[in-house]
Amino acid sequence: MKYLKTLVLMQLKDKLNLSFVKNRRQLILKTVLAFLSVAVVTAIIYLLFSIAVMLRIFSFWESLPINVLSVIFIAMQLLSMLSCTVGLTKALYFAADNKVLLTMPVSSNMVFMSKLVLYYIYELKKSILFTLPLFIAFGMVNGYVWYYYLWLIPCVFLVALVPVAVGAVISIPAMFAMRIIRNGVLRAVLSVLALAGITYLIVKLINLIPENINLVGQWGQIYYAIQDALQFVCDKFALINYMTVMVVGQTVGYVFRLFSANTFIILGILVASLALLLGVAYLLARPLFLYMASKQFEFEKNDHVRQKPNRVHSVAFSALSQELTVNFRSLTYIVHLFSQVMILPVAILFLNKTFVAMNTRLAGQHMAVAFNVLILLLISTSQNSVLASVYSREGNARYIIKTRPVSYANSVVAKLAVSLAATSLSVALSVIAYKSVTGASAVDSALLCFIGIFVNVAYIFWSAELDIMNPQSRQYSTVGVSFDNPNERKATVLSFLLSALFAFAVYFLLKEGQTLAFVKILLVAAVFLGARLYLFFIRVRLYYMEK
Amino acid sequence: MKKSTVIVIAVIYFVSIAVVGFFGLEISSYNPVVYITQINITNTELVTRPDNTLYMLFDYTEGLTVPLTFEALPENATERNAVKVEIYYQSDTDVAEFISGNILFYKPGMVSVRIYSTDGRNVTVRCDVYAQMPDQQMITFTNASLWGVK
Repeated sequence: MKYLKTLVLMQLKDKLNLSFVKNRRQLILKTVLAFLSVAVVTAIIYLLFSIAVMLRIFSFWESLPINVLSVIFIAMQLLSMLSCTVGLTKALYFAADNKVLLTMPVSSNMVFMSKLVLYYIYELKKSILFTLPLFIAFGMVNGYVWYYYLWLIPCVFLVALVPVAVGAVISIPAMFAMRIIRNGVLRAVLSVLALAGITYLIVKLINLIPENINLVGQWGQIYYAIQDALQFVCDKFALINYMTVMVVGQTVGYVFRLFSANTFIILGILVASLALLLGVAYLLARPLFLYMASKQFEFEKNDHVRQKPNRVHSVAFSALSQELTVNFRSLTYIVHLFSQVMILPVAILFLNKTFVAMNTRLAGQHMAVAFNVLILLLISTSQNSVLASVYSREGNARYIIKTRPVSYANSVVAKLAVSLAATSLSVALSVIAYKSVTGASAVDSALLCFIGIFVNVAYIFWSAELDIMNPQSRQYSTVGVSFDNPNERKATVLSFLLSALFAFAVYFLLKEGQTLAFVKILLVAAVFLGARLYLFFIRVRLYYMEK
Repeated sequence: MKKSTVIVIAVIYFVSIAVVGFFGLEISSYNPVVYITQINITNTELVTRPDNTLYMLFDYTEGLTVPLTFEALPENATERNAVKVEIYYQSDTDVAEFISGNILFYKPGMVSVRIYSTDGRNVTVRCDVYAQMPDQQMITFTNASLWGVK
């Protein structure tokens, strides 16, 4: 047990800052802050539940039905199971520290157990911060008896174990799946396909929003639809629903009982299931863990790098080709890029579906157009605020640009090329989504598209310029990527200011007619783009030539 | 993007919806909701008992399907389609099932059907539907438990 504690603490220190434990003052401060966090989360959930009860959204009675709590709890448990499965798969079978841990003077079983305990601690932390406040707020809204709150304490400890036990068992097939899709290209394709599928589902859901929402007129139908949906989710995830019933009790006949025979039957089944799952994990996952952790990677690595003939590119394309090769090697980069392209159109689609569902007057329509411009520019430019560190992130390698025997413009622009293309595509897709929902004319849509692209291109060059004129490469080469870059901060502020300015301009010009307003704004955007491009290239030349 | 930036953008996003919803809505005179006040079963086989309860009688054949037709009134009800149908009593287990507007009988027997509005007023009409073997004669009392052969 002592060894297990040491192993767990060792791994915990790697992930969490536990320095406050030894300092009494900091320990008290941290404890008070933790209690405050739980209290604040409970207060927020209580407020939301109270509003739902007051508006009789989920029940005609002055209470919150159990199935509402159950649906939220189901969602939380599923997310926890997913994160535990992914985390445990990596920690048990692919983590580099396993090789070091196995050299410690402890049994390999202990190392395996320490990994599970570590994830249990993470889960417990999450449960105390989110699940516990959820159940406390539910009890407060429904006026539960005092011993309900005491009953919650053992329940939280038990419930936190469920995702870990499930994750430990599912991690076995997950490990085999991850081994099968080790090929980088296949993994990238599968990830992009998965993201595309999720995007498609979200778009399908958004399209379900009716064109005319009349909450008062349709409330009867909406109320029953909510009831059906809650019941459907509870039926489909009955096992997790039973856990909710175990914690909060149920109505038997006409009487509500916190503790009934069912409570103890479910408790018994839950404890037995957890024991079974952990037993299966111990019997099946432990040998696999040992096999994977003790694999001699130095000699068994069998990666044949296919030799490709050297292709000579033109000077202009050479820098771009290098950027593409370096960036598209990373799966994270590909996933991030895909998300960057898709988030904006989905956000614009949802925004306009909501606006169309409202019966707006002329001022409302003008507001809707202005908010479209605001959100379009805000999301797209904010996504590119990281470009204010695009050159500095390379650390000392940043100076390679200066040593190349080609025009500096080539190298500096090549670094922005992917972002420029992705942003333009994202803006174009967003305008298509805007047009499809609002029925805006082709001319207006095209003008809006060009406004979006011009402002974004100008912003990208402005952000990059911030990095060139005030480089932070020394910080990146020493501190790493986790410091607060003043250029990024400045770029984020610029993003908000630019978006607000263009949105206000659109709102005030719309009185003259949408097309005329867009033409005027486009001219301003074109001038802005021209100015930023001029300043960027002149400063690049100045910086590299004279500094 | 930093978490704080994402949160601010999310707040602006939802505030924009709220602003348009609050300040941009069309001003119109109050348009009250017209609720369903009556539901009429329009099947020609419908019979009214002396105590004003309703029933329908059919000869049972295998796969007997009884289409249930009804109308919700008034005609200008805001949500005229907000009506649900359910079988709330059966003389035996698995006598029939309500599927897509039809009562599908699996064996002879009686089912009590409830048609009710879901627009808020919960207007309800009930009807007993009997499927009898051709050589049998049913007692069609109000109380469903009295169902049997004479």
